[in-house]
Amino acid sequence: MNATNGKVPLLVQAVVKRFRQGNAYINALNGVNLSASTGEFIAIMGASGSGKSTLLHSISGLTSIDSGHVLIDGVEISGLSDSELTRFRSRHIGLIFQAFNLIPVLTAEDNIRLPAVGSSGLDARVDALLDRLDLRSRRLHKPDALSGGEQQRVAIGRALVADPAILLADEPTGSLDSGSSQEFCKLMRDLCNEQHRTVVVVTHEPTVAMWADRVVVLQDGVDVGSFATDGLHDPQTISSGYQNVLRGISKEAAKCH
Amino acid sequence: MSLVVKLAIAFLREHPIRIVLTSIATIASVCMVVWVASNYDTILHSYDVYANKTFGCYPLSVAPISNAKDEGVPIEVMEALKADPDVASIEPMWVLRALVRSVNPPNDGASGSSRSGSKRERESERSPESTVLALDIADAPFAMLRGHWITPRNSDAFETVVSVCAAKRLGVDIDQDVVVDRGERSYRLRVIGIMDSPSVDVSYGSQMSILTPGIGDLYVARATAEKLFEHASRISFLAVALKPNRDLTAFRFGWAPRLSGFSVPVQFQEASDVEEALCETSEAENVKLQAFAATGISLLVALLVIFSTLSMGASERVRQFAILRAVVFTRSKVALMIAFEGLILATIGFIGGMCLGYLLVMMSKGATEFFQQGFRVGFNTFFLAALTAYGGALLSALVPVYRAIHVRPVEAMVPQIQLSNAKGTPVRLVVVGFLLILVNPLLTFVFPPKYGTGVLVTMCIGFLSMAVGFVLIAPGIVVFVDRVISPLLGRMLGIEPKLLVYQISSNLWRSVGAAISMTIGLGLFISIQVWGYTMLDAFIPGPWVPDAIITFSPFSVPLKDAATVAEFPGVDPNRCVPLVVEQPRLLNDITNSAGRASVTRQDNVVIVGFDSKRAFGGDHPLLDLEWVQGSPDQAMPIIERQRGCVVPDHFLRETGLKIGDSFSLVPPENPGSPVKYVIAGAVKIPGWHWQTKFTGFRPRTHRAAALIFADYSAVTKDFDLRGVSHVWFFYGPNGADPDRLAASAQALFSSVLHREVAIGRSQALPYVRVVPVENLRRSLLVNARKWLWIISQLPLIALAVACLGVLNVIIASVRARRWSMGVLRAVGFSRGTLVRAVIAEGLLIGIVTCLLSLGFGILAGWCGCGISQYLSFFGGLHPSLVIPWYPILLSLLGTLILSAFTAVWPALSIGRSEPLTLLQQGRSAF
Repeated sequence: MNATNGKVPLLVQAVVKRFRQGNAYINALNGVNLSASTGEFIAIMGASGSGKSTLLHSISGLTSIDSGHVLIDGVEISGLSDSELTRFRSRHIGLIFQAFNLIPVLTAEDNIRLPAVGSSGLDARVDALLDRLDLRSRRLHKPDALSGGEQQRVAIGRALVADPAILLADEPTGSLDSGSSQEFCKLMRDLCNEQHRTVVVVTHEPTVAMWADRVVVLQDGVDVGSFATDGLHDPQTISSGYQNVLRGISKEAAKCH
Repeated sequence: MSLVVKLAIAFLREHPIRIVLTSIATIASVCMVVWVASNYDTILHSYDVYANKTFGCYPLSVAPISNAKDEGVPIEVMEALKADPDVASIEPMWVLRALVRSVNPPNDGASGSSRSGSKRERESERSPESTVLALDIADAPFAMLRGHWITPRNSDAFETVVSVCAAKRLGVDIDQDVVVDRGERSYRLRVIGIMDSPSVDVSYGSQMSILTPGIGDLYVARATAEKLFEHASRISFLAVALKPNRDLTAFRFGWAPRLSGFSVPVQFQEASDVEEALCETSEAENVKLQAFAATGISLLVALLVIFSTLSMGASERVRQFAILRAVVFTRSKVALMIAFEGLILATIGFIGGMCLGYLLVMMSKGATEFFQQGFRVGFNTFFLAALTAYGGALLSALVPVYRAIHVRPVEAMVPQIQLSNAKGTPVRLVVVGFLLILVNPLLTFVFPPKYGTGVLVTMCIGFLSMAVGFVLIAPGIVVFVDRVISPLLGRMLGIEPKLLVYQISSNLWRSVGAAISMTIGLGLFISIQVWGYTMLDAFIPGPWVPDAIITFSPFSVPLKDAATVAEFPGVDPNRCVPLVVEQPRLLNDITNSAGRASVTRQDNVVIVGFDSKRAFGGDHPLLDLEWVQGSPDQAMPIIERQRGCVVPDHFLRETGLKIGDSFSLVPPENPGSPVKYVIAGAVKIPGWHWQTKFTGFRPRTHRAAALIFADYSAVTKDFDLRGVSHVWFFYGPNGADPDRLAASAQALFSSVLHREVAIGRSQALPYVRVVPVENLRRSLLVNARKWLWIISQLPLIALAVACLGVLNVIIASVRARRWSMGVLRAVGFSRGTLVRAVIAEGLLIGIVTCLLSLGFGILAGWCGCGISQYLSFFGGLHPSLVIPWYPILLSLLGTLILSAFTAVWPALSIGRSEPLTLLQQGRSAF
């Protein structure tokens, strides 16, 4: 629950999403349920085709759902029009993509400003973010002059500038080396701890999921279970827990290992 | 909004070369509009100046409402106005027309070149008629530049004041004489003054609707005019001056109801009425039409060039649009951003084009000489230039905006490789396109329109659907050229054919946009050539016409004397036939000329009477014709014995008659006794119109439905003709000198009439003319080709401007393929191969352009000829399609060279790059 306003940052109830393939329909999501409280770091794991990216797209409003409910900060987003959803997304959801997806013609600072242009206090927030993300010296550089890690930090800054209720990241470390990857995860962790950010990360890497508070496992479009990481930054523990969920072993039994 | 503007500017700055090329193209388009539309502003300004000056010291004139020749202002109007206390003076003025010439003709060839006749005849061409204004006012209505004003009411002094323009045209100054020719009499007038009266460049017919003191070329006393024209003076109009401080508007509107109640209704005219009338003249309408035509063409070019740029930008930024949609932008903001990019390009083009166009107009020396008040760039130019730039930009943004706002935010998550365009053949588009193309020929030839608004509707629907049809088949043509022509081109240029596969169809709409932008210019050029030469075929005297014709005017020559022409030096005696010619009206309107505006006044025929055996029969017929129906052997007996005639094939089509049918003609000298002629045969006689126009075959009126051939005796008897008016002949084997022939004809005519005879047209004397048909053909072709070239220039300029758009496209295409080109270089393909491949891309776009333009041009030209039947005076022509391959092939070759040349710079640029550079630059592209 969001401590300030009593609303849950994220609530997903029985979400179904179908895609058409030829003459048949495929259920990418088959009644998924998920919730995240304020300051919680959730990793969503699953095999390729399990529906984890589709779930993230549905949560962020990038794609519409066929049934169910998605509430961000207490607001049901499936009932919003395209322009209302766009505005809602820019203010309440921070998106971080695998491929960074920065606007190449804008500088690092301008990319960070993008979702919150026109809002009050923007300059101060941007300055704070530049410092927090160690980008001050690179603020006037365009994306093609930044390293992968720097570009991802710019993408994080862009996701945070509007002070969103929730951060959503889809395979955010896919384009990073292992060092930058761990730096990213540590940053997410710090945001949760310090700023009580709610973070949801889609990943297939245990080295990323180990930073989360909880791992939710998806299989064939259904959430088959979840387990707490208990702060152990051990990828093997995560892998075991993941396998145990898939095999249906109880959470307590998985925790012992 | 500031973010939208910032992003729009940032995206434009990402490709500076593309923006520069687009801007140059848009500037050139706007410049074309300024160049042409400024003519219209200038002409309007000249009308404004003229209208304000033409009344001289009189604010008003009073003239009959009707333009009928014989009507003048009733005397009671003058009496009534004189009695008005507001009126200071009323001056009656009499307008006449006469042939005026200088005693010493000017050497500058002001009379213009003759289309026919010998050199001696061309030298004796007379000036056109001049306007003589007869008036008895004490002071000149305009400032005198030299000399002094005429003495009013002095009939003994044969003196005149000449306007400054007429003085220049006639080449006269004060103390010199002019000669006024009145039939067989001529009168000399002494020029005593040159007056600075205003002039305007409109036809006499247009001027006669505006009767003001400024319309005169010569100013004489009324008494002098009565002597010159042997007629009591009349009041053509009244010049009215009011007393000081009188309200002109109140005076005018107070009198208006009364003026229309006189025996001849009259009306006031002041400067605003003059200007309004001038703006409605055909001269002004033609220039306005040219301005709009230039705007239309330029707008299309600007639209396509900007479309190409915006479209490329939209295609390259699909992922960025997705990110913006995901992160911050609504659809409307994405649309605004693209529209703003278009507006920026439009603004650069508009400002640059206006400045450059203005500079070119001001620098144009010929223009300032032609327009006395100098050139003007006014509201119309400004508006049309803005319409070109901004209209083109806004329209061009529609498709890129549509595509951009339909990018889904989730596409930001999609790997880039999935965003490439499909390469399939757009079969449905092509089918719909072909069907639309068929609409125009169907509406023009199979389901012809009714006269009036039906023609306009047919034109709009037909040509619009044809244009849209060609746009829709363009993708199919691109794919066809890509699949079929590019392998052949590859082999010709020594390139592996697989390198060229999908080269232009990989980004289909970019290639289509580039090709269509060039097709506007090239297609229009080809259509003008096809239309022009096809229509010309109906006018240029065909090979059937004998080498020359001698005309005797206004009297005729007895047949036995006319037969001596066969003995003239250079004449083939076996092929020399005297003729009688008349132009009688058709008794019944068998051509339906009353109901068809384009054949109006084609209610008569030109009938030529000659010895049919010598004309059609024997071993050396005078007229070796293509017989469409009947034959010489069948026709000659009918001609000789049954009052038969041979008609042109189109006459049968227009009238629905056939061989054996008859029609009645009304002899002009004996209208109560119509005569019937039987159709004995039908022949093809292309170009008979201008053969009759310049040879005096049309003595009665300037339009005719057909030239028909009949028996000499029948025609002479039926139309009460005294003798031979023309002799048609071929030259002998050694050719002939037209001047010697003219001299011989002059001697013959003089001996028949026993008086002096002139060579060339003369109002004072009987005259002979020798009209060699080759002179006629050459003159017509030279003038036609010149006119066709003038109207073809704008499309060719549009083609050149569109090449800048093609350059943009090729640069973008090369940029998108840098990585793959780097790979090719890395695996062993040479620089030369890559250079040739890029040049081949330009050539392929050029080939698409040529195919589209050829199809569009020929079809548009052909349908244009078909629809011309219903317009102006072109009715009844039915010319066969003529495709002038020489200029067309030249233009196609020029286009291919231009499109290949356009690709040289990007080709060399990519050729110079090292493989690693290409690989790195290609991968770093977003």
